[in-house]
Amino acid sequence: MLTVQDVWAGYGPSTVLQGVSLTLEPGTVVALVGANGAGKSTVLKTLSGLLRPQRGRIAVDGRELTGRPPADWVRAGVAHVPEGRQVFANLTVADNLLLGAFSALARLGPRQRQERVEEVLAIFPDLGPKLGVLAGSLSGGQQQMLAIGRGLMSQPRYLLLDEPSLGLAPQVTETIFAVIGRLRDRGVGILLVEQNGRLALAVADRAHLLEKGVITVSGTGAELLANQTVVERYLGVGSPLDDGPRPQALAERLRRALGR
Amino acid sequence: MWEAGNVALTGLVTGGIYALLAVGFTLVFSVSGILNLAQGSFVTLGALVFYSLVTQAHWSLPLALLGALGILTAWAAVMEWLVIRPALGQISYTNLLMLMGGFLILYEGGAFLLWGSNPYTLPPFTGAQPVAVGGLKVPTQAFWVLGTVLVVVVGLWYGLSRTTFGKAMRACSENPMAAELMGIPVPRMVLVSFSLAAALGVLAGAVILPLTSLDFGTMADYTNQGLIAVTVGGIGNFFGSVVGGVTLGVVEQFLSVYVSSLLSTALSLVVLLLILIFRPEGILGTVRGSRLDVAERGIGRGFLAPAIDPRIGRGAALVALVGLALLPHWLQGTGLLRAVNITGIFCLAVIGLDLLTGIAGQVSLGQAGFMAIGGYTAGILAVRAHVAPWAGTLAGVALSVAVALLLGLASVRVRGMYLAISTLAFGILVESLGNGLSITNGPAGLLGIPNFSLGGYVFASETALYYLIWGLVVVALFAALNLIRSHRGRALRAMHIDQAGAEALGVNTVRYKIQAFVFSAVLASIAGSLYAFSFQYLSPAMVGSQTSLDLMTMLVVGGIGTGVGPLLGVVLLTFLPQVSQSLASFKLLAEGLMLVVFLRYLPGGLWGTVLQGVSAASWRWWRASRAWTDPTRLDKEADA
Repeated sequence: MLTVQDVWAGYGPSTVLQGVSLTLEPGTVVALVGANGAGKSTVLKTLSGLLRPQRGRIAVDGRELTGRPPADWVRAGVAHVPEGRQVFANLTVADNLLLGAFSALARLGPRQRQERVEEVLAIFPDLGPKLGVLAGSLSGGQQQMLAIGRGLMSQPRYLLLDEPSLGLAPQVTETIFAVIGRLRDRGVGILLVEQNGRLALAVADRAHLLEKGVITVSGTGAELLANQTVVERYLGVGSPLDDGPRPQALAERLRRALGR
Repeated sequence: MWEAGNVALTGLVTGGIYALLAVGFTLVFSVSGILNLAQGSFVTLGALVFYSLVTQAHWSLPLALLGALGILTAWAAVMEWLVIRPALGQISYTNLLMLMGGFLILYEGGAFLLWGSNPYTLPPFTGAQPVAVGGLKVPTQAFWVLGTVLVVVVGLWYGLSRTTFGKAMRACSENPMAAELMGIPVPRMVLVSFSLAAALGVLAGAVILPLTSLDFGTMADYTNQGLIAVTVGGIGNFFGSVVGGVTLGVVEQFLSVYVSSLLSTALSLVVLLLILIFRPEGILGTVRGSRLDVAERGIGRGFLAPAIDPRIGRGAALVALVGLALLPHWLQGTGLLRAVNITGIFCLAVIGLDLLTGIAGQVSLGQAGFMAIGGYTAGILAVRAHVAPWAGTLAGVALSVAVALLLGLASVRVRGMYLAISTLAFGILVESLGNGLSITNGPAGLLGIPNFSLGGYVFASETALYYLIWGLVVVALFAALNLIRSHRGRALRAMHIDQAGAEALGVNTVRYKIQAFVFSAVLASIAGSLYAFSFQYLSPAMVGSQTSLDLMTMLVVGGIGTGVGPLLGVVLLTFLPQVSQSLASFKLLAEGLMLVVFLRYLPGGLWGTVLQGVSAASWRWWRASRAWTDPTRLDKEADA
């Protein structure tokens, strides 16, 4: 279990997170929604060691990792797939994947490395024919798959996804959400930050609303979708029923893709 | 025939050393994105430490090599950890580049103090007799050089392209954040790259020492040659660097034997400038999705000098003007006026540089090149054609404007690091032309330049020159300050911070860049002419690439982008060494140290730091005086 206890964090003198607490259990999807600048990405950064919290404790499976460098977090089983994909554009797809397991590579033989790459290719078959291609030449959707695949190379138990659907076509979003569902079923705990709050809430087991660095509403995804405040402030005025038929259909397909 | 063979061999040996240098540049650049201008220092430092360990500590050659490697890689690592790592992301890319230039000057100054200005050499490692290979007489040391280059290049190639460690290093430069998230220890990788690059330099220096002689002044030469090599081959491209280095060595050698030794550098620099402008990724580089020169790395925090109350500003300006007018009177009989005049000449050049680099953000490492154009044009016209000094000065300005237009056009095509290399190359090009052409009388310098005169009045006395020079400084400063505060100045600053953003707002960045280049070149050109007239002599070294670095240091120490501040830097770095000869031997070391310390810790320079101090103190005083009368008022104001 990934436990966040009363974390305060920020950049320089400014404080963005003001006492955030949440837990992420293996085999669940937790969604974090909120407005721009609420601190969603900052939460993820403290959970992968990119940002040292000013106060508070974060533990992974009972081991406290607060303030440790990112390499320790990767080793402890946390993988952070950052916003905007951030693939190594001038390295090949294969090199990108292998670097994903960097902290584990020293202990892995060539055969095991190959196995891990094949595991990821089983999840994202589209990447198979592209292994020798420079990552920068992939399409946006393929880059997102590569970014997630690269994160999976370290065989994480906790996966932090920052805006995985950003700028993607609905079909690609669907593929990615289907993968999220498969990973959850395998016991991976997924913390999902989405600008498309409706999609995130539709698939989440638990969800938190982050406002100005504080979690103000928590509940199941369905509960938040039904919460008048959440809907009015962050999902647009009106109830989900006011949506046009197409977004609803997409949300429905995603729910099915996740098997519920 | 055999002569050509020998030329090729010498070229190959030099080219091997250049290749090691270029690979060092590429290594640091591809991991950290930093252009390590101090790279050349490690060749000379490595050779000097190696020399001392062999001759003074009487260590055996292998032991001495290991010792030099140990000392200097550790030194490079410490500097990375102590200075460069904390500066990354904190200071702008422009300043980072100048910081590396600061290290170059620092190492030059340190080597000068420790080893003096004597050149050093060693006997060959093995056998003094050249070996005959198919009719060619090959010095045994050449085998050592070529062997070392081969082993290092193959070893590094394997390490970088075939191992995960090498790929992880490349990942760091591609995307440091994502690399961290993969568990790659990015800071450690950067440190390793700096140490490895230093080791390459030490190896190069140790094996080349028996074939040449090295002193502290060769550091900048090695940096320059390495830069040319790596730019020709494509910076960040491993094989490109190797090929670029070897090609440069061979071509330079053939040019110097069959064309002109003094012009060989000039010719290779012209090629470099053409490559920079038309193919910045290098001859062997491949065009990739993102152009490197567009990626502005680590913008960092800017520095905003506190505003001065205009009433205080005007008052201070008036006091300064009166002081300036009376200064010759006070200094009568002290003999200091000459130093004051030279200070004024450099002030002119620095005012231009501040507008170009400090305000418009176009790094120029070749400002002294325009001083050379101005000085040589006026000097040659006066000496060889008896043209009136004022007309010669204007001719110099005209030529400088023409060249500045060309460089300005180049700056439209290349940015950041590539622009810095272009201006550096321009400065060295002008210097090597000064050395190589007969019309300038080469390194010996142009003699017999007359005094400056205007309509029959000869500025023969220091006092007359004083009023001429400082009058021009006041006019230039006034013009620059007005420009900075005008609409145009805002456009220049916007372009500095975010070129694309400024363009989106309708700023014609092409026009403004060229204008900034021209303004800065005109001032430097006038300064150069006055320099020649006041010394009645001009040599290439007086307005060479070292002077360009000096000007940059003055700018940074005084307060880059603050208008008035840089003049403080000029006073500190020109006047003091002129006055005290004992200080002069520490000049380089102090310059380098100041450049590093100011860039890293006091980005506002002397001027900004003093202003900040004064404004903080007056704010405290104001608070204290207010709090005394009404303690709750402050809280109310803070809330509001």
